[in-house]
Amino acid sequence: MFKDMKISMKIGFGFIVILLLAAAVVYFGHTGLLAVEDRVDKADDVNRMVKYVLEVRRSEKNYILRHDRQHADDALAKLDEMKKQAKETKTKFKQDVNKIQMDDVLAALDDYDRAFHNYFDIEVKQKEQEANMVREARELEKIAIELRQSQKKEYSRLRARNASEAELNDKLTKSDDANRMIKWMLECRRDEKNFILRDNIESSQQVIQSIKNIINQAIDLKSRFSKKENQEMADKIIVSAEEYQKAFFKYKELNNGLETNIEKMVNSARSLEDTCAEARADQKNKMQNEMTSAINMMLSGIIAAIVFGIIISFVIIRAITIPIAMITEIAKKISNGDLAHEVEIVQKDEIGQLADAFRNMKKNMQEQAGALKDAINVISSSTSEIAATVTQLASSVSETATSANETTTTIEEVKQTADLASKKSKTVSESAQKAQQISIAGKQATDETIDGMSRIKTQMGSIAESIVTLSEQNQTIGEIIATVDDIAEQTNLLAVNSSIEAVKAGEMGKGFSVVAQEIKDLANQSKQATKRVRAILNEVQRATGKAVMVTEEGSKTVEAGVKQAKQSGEAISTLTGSITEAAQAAIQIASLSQQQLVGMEQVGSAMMNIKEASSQNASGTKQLEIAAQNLDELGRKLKQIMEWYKLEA
Amino acid sequence: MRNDDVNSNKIDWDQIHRRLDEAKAAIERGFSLDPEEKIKVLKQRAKLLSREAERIEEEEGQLEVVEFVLAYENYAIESEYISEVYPLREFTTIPCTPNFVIGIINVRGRIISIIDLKKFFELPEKGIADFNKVIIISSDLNEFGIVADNITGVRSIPVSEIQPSLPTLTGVREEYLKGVSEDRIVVLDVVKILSDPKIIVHEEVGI
Repeated sequence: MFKDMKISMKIGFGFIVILLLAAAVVYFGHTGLLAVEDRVDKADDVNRMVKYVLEVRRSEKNYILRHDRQHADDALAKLDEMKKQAKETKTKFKQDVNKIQMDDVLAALDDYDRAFHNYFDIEVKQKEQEANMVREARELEKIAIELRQSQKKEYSRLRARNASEAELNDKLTKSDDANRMIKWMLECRRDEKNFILRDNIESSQQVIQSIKNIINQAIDLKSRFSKKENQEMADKIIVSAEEYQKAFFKYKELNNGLETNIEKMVNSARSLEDTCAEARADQKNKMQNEMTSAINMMLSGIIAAIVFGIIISFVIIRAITIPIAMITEIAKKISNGDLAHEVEIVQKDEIGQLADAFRNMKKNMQEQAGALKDAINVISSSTSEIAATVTQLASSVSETATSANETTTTIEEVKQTADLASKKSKTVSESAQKAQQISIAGKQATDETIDGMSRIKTQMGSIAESIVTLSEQNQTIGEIIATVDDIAEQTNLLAVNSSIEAVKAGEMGKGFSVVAQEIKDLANQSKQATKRVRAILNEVQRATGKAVMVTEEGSKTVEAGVKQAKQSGEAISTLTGSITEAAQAAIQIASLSQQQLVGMEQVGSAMMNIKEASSQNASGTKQLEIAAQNLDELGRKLKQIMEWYKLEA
Repeated sequence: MRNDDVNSNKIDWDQIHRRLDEAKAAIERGFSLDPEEKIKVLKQRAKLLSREAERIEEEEGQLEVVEFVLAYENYAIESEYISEVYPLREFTTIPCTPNFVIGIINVRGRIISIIDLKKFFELPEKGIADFNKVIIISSDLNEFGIVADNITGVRSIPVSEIQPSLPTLTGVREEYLKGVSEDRIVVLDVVKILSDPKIIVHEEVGI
């Protein structure tokens, strides 16, 4: 079955098998790659989460450092993204372990989120307290500065009045106290900033100390002030200082919450990182496994495809090449002129067809070679014939030359003859005209003859009619004669009877007896007469029959005569035509013979040309001989070539 | 050559016309003879008449007979017994009769049987029979017809001339013969024939 498949089918079959194998390989590779891609995607997701964690941490740190709202938003946005990512990744995962991991990640994220929000809130509150502190500090400072100014004014006024030293000193100490408060306030602010920045306890203690100093100083001043307005100012300072102190304590308290939140954030971030790292490691492992399995499958598939491909191609190649090699072998033999070997391939595919074609070709070549051989034999025999013919030709050519000479002299004679012919033809044309007239007369005569003949024919008919009538009348006569005969017979009998009666009468009857005898005689005579008449009638009948026959023959003869007369009439008219033609021909002959004379002269010059041509022919035949020899040689060579073919095994 | 033929075949129209005229003239004359011919006939008749008349024989010695021909032989019967001669035109054959009885004929109302003498005489059949005449013979006893080829006529034979029948003749024929004349005419004895019991047919056929 495979043997009878067409080559295209075989190759196609091989290709299809290989294609199927390649498709299998591609399928396995593709599925492996898809798994790897999926895995890479998941790993990538996990990586991205790790990255997100880092980014969130960075934004958080930035925010903590710079307290910029932008960073906080960034961090939150990143968090949201990460959450989304985590959820997405969770849906992508199929194993429970990974799902739990993702759940952990989500929980950690929530923790972190919550911590961050707390942190953020605390920060906002801190800001508020800070603002309170600033406001109160400024208030305090302003009041203190006012107080100092008012003390300074009073001092300058007292000096102007030349007040007592005591009074002056009082005023100076008071302004000095106000200054001291300002200074403490500044210190307090510095320490506060230090605390905010560095978060060290000494600064906070110093802040608390300074505030206390300010309050104590203010209380002291108040007691020393006599003026109410100054006392009020001192109260204000006390209130501000207390407010400040309160705000600072709140701030300090908030600071602690902040730290715990930071710690929480850090913890949850760490757990996030850990989980993510774990997940990443897991994914990486799986990915590597899948990749190796995909590689293995592909490799095994490729190897199988190669092995299959090699086997199938080997089979196909063998199926194609072996018969082709056989055919090639035979083709080589044929190219060497060996036509004796048979192509022994019987297949139905193209090679089978090729083998058939080869067989046909070989058969045809054999036949052609045989035919060629015969043809060459014919050629070689023909060439010898040609050679013989050429020698004959040579002798013919010399004969032609002598004939040409003879012809030239003949032409002179012909010329004279032509002249004579011209004269004769004139006389012929004259006599032809005479003959024409005579023939016309002859035609008229024959026409008249035909008329006469037809008249004779009708007369013959009437003669025949008359004769027949006569014959019929003869018959009537015969009948009459028969009657007469009968009467004579009866008369005879009567006579006999009368005689008998006479005898019976005796003597008396004797006379009667004589009469009876006479009657008997008469009856006998009339009988004789009727006999004669009958004989004559017979003769007449015979004669009339003969006459009818003769007239019939005559009428036939007349018909023949008419026919002959017609024929002769036609002959005469034909003759007339011929004579006319002859007359014309004679005239033409006269002119033609004139032309003949001219023609003959041309023939003479032509004969000279023929002479020359025949001498050329002689040289030509020599060349022809050489050519014939060459042809002979060629035939022999062809024979040798044909010997080269080997036709039979 | 052809000319000669034509000359030899030339029709002599003059002669033909002459002959025709003669024939026409003859018919017009009513077939009367030429004067020359007439003279010739007359002369011939005169010659005949100039012969010496025949001598009439003795009355006693004469036998009047009717002579007739039967199968090329001449027979004679005495006229005395003959009632008449009659042409035989049609007859009726009768079954269960001897072969010599030919049949019966009707002669003017009379039914007459006819016999063939040749068969009656048991003569060998010879020649062709004409049988166109019947001679009716009759006596007191009987009446019948004898067929004959031809009737020669009535003649008288001298009795002395009649010779007795030939001794060679025997049997039936001898019985009925009267004798033979000098002219070799067989004279039949009619009385014997008429009275012959053989001739009377009396036969009964079983039904």
